Amino acid sequence: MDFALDETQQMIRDSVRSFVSGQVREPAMKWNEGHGDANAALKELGGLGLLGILAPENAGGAGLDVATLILSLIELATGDAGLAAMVAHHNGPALGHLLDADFSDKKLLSRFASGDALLCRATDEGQAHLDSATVETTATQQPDGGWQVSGSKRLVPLGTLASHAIVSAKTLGGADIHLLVDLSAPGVSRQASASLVGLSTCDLADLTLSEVQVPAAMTVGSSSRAVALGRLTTAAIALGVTRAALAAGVTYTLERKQFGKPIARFQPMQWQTADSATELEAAELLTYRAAWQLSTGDARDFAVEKAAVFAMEAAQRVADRALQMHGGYGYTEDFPVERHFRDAATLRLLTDGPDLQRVVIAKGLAQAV
Amino acid sequence: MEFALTEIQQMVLETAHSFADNELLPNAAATDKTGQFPAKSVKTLAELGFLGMAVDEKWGGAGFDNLSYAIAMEEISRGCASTGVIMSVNNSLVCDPIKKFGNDEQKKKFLKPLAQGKRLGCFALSEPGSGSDAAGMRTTAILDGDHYVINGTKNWITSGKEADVCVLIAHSDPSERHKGISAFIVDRNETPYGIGKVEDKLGIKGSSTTSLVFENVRVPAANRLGAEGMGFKVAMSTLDGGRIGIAAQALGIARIAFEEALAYSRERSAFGKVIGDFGAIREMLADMATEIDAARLLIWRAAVGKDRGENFGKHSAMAKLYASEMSARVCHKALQIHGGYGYVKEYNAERHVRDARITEIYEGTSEIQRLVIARATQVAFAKAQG
Ligand SMILES: Cc1cc2nc3c(=O)[nH]c(=O)nc-3n(C[C@H](O)[C@H](O)[C@H](O)COP(=O)(O)OP(=O)(O)OC[C@H]3O[C@@H](n4cnc5c(N)ncnc54)[C@H](O)[C@@H]3O)c2cc1C
Repeated sequence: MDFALDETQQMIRDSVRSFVSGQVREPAMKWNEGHGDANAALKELGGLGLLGILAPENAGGAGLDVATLILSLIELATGDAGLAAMVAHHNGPALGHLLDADFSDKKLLSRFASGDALLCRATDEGQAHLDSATVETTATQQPDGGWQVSGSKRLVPLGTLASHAIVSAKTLGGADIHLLVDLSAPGVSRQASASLVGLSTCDLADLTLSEVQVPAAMTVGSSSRAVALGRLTTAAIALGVTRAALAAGVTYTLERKQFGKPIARFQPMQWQTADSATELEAAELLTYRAAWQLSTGDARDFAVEKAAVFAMEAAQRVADRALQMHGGYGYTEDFPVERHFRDAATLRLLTDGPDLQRVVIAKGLAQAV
Repeated sequence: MEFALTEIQQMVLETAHSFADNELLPNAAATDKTGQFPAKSVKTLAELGFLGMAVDEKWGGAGFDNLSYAIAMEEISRGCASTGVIMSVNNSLVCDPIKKFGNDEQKKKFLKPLAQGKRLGCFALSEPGSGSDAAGMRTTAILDGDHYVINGTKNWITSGKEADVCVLIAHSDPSERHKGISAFIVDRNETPYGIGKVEDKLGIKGSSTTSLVFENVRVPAANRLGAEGMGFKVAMSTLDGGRIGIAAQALGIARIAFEEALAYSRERSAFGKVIGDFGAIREMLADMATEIDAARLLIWRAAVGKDRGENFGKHSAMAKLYASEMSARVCHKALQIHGGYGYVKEYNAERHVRDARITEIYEGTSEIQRLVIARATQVAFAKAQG
């Protein structure tokens, strides 16, 4: 049992941390509207190797473990959750899927791993994520072995910035299939999704595919790890938001004076501080445990889902308390806390929401009886 | 970052788990009903080395680390919450301060038999008029030649009836508050003190809770634990460690409540299906499982911090706060899942609710934990700001 980071993890964490304090935290106050602003930061992160964290070095990546990915995302999300969500999506469910499925086009893979091109994974069609039976996008096999894909996907992270998307579809026979679709191909149209209450800097698009031709070589195997990575990277973003909200709240209570003393001296403020600090610690430990499991093999005992449920919900509670600690000022855009509050409320969009994750946990528990 | 147990920790877990399954679980309801001290189980704890787990073998202990202790405390409390607190007090509140603050003479005379389980210990800090505000205690220990003369009443003392060694905290200089407090080891056989009221409690009924009455009890000066005036520090540092044990006790109670509720949810049917397939029951079970894991990780984090000699006070307060409140929530839900059967003694659900409740009170109430955590957090942020 060792809760300390190893040297590499520490080094990467520190470098992301200094990137965030230099290039993210302040500007993010103004990024609130429009993801365009965060794109420059995204490019720089590619330069730092943070867009191919899990990809092996011979595939153009950084060759680091899931724990390091998670640690980086937590740091990024303390600065801007929307930026972190894009980095999380590219590294985790998207590139993580290609790596897990041993995708054969190494040249393309290395373009993603180096950050030269961005990758997204398009699954959501507005139905329950857990139920692949509801996928309506179709893939029809062509005489040359390739596929013709039609359907629509919504709320795809990196949907406008990415060069390619892993698209989930159903074959005529009803089998699940994943195809790597070139988003500049004829028949693809993409449109920014309706703007959300939070994660405003995250590029989200709705994709429409009509009779898009996909070569046979672009077939991607299935990957359960992609789902786990989607859930766990969301937990990491939640943790970053939680950390930022706690810091904002406690710092404010130390500075703000009422009745002749800092409000930090009032027990209701202390209680909120204690509960938030404890929940942050618990969420971190659950997330690290799951990350360690995925770094060394497969996840067990629903460690990923437990981390995701707990972290997402803790983020909302902690952000809510932090806003309350700010009184009326918390409600204004002069302080970052209202953004943390909105971001926390939006996280469940990036993966299955807590209710669905609970169903996964509970079904597993029932099976084990 | 590594979340695996060592072979020894795994062995401790399995030993404690099977002891709980074979000896504790079958007797826990009877212990609750009769309120009798589980003497046979405590004897087995001694044989397993579980009464002085983190004490060096040289001093009669088992030489395990604090993580092993936390693991064993969870498993033992899963079997019987009363046995759990007896074990926790002897390890954390009696052996630990003697190990940390005692001299070799004291270790030889007291720590060794305590760790071996030949004697049983209790820890006397609280009084009728002072609990959370421990420094408000009234018991005095006045130096007279080479003895301290003890006068006063201690309240709520776990194992007070059975214990024959008492770690006592008292004012050696009543004119001072914290700085006038010292710690002592009182040998009940050599310098008898009185046992007052034996409490009738809501839960953990197999563990005795008594007042201790000191009337001119003359304790040899050689039994002072640590320097004069250090007693408050001894008490607080002891409780930092004790909170790991109580957090693990709370976790163990939550575990058994959860296991029984999960099993019940698969057996009981209503409206033509097993109740465990209703969304509302599923949600409760998923939350219980998640929070149990969260508590365990907080406890292990604190225990590893203690093993590494880190400043673990904030972590043990977090572990104790979260685990105790988690346990109350989990036991509440477990009872709910049993419906009417949860409210009667045919099942164990109501006992778990009663047993869990104490963990939010002793060794520092939840309010005191929140004060500790808030202070540590505020200080950290104030420092970061410069
Ligand atoms: C079964 C049992 C076993 C016990 N075993 C032992 C033992 O072995 N040895 C021992 O020394 N003691 C023991 N205790 C005592 C226990 O530690 C105390 O009961 C506990 O510390 C609370 O003290 P109190 O009961 O005097 O409550 P009080 O301190 O009077 O507290 C009453 C309420 O006020 C709150 N409160 C107090 N101060 C503050 C504050 N500053 N801010 C906010 N809220 C506050 C408390 O949280 C609580 O809710 C035991 C108690 C029980 C019930």
